[in-house]
Amino acid sequence: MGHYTPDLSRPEANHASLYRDPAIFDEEMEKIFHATWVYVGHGSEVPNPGDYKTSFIGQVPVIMSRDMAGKIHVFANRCTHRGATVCPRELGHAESFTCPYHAWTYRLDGSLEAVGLPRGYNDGELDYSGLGLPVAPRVGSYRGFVFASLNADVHDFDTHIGPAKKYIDYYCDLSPTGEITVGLTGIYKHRYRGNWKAQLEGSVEGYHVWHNHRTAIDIMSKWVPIMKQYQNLPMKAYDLGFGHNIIENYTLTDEQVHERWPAEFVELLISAHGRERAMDALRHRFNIVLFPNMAILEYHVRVIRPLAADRTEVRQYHTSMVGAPAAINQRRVREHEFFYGPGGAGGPDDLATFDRIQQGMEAWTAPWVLFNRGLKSEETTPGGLRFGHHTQETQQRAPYYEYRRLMEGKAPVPSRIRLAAAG
Amino acid sequence: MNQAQAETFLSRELRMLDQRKFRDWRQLLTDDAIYWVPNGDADGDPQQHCSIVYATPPMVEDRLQRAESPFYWVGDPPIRSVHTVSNVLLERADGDSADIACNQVIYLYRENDQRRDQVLDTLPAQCEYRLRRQGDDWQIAYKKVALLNSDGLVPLLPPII
Repeated sequence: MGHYTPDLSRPEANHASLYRDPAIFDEEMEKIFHATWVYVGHGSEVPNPGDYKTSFIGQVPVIMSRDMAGKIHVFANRCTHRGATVCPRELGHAESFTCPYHAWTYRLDGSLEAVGLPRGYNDGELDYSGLGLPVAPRVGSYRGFVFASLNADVHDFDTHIGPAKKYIDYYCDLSPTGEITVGLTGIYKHRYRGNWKAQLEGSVEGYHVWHNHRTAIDIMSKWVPIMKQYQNLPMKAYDLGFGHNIIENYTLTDEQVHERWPAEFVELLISAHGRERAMDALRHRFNIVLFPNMAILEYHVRVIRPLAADRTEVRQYHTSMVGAPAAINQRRVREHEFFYGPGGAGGPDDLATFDRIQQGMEAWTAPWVLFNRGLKSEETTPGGLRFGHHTQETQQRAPYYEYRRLMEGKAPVPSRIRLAAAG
Repeated sequence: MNQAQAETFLSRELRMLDQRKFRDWRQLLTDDAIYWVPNGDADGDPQQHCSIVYATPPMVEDRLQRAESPFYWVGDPPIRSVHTVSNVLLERADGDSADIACNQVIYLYRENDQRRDQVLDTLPAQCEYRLRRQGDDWQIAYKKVALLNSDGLVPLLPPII
């Protein structure tokens, strides 16, 4: 047990204590999850005024709500009086949030509206304006994906999300309206006995596909033949900065796009977006990680919730393309459930492996976790992004540049978390 | 089909799963069978919403082929199961088909794990069957396993539960 020190993480290797040590885990929560931008939810989960979703920013339980004007707010799910959560559900609709203990009632923007038996308070004992639910001081969103930060001094959201926008656009433009829903068509929930970073690394893992997912690839090659050639494809993976990274799984030629998708769907997208945008959306298949807790994959948005150094929750929120023909969305349901979820042919093998990673890391005599594959041949784009072949490990190295920056205190981290009270 | 026959059928079927005779279980399916383990709302539409498993017989074949592979990491070491069945209600029966509702408790255990403290998972479920007569035997045209925690944390599962 000890604190994080710079010798524990280098581009080519991490020390196993980053995955095992509870003190380092606590430090990660403070310096990473409570200091940078964290994915909270998607606008489609709270489509109407009064809709809410509960989630977490690191260890902090939060509510994401939409107020009567349609604005999204994120605040701690923690009564400012004695600490109970004011909302016990994952998803729902409310006029306001009332604590079950003494009826303290909060508006949809988190501000305090009323308390039980108010006459028991003397003058000066109850400051409504200072007792709203603690608000995340920064909220940003792009194409419905909502991120929040507990750190008022965090870098601006546009800079943070900038390098990822192109890929988020590709993803959402598979919908003819440009809109997607997240989780409304299924959420798989699982916990594994391992560290959260195993899933972060594993969400863009090009090296394991041919072996770990051999059984799944054999079957899915029936409808995506190109997956058989996965390791020989000229695909790349990129470090997008801020810990974000992207792996290209495959890119279809125009001919392959037409083999994969019915002509009516291709035409529908072209008439909606124009040929270039439509074909970009149809050609590119990739997994993108938005550090530290979220990934977008072909069929789902993945949310990683660290519970302890050796315990992690993963949720896979299936995505549906608004305005796409029912048959297309149905196909996305079948293909997603084929691979993912506890009964799928692919995802469970990853989760079983993460469990084994944590077991193996007990071998303190061999403490290093290697990320040096492709380090020597790694290249840089004219714009300065590191990249390598998709079966190499540029994308696994990527989060740790940001990890080290935050853990070593080179980024502006507040000395204490500011949870500004809602006015 | 009568009550006793329904109970015997279910006990035999579940014993095949507990003995991991999945190929024998496959033979119980009619050609147009649906095997369904819902995710989330058990009354939802499996064409619009993801399931834990939604499988036709060819998809069951794929599952078994995968489970027989040496590259099936979920089952390495294998997951053992015990199914108990109770509250068997013969909801409708004529000479050729029968609808059965029952409760099942599925216990899962990963054998022989290096970790040595692997938990015993308990999965209660409400189940529905539609059986069809084939000669002297009965076959499964529809099996739905609605896990009590289908919208919650579900552990890794054997190929058929």
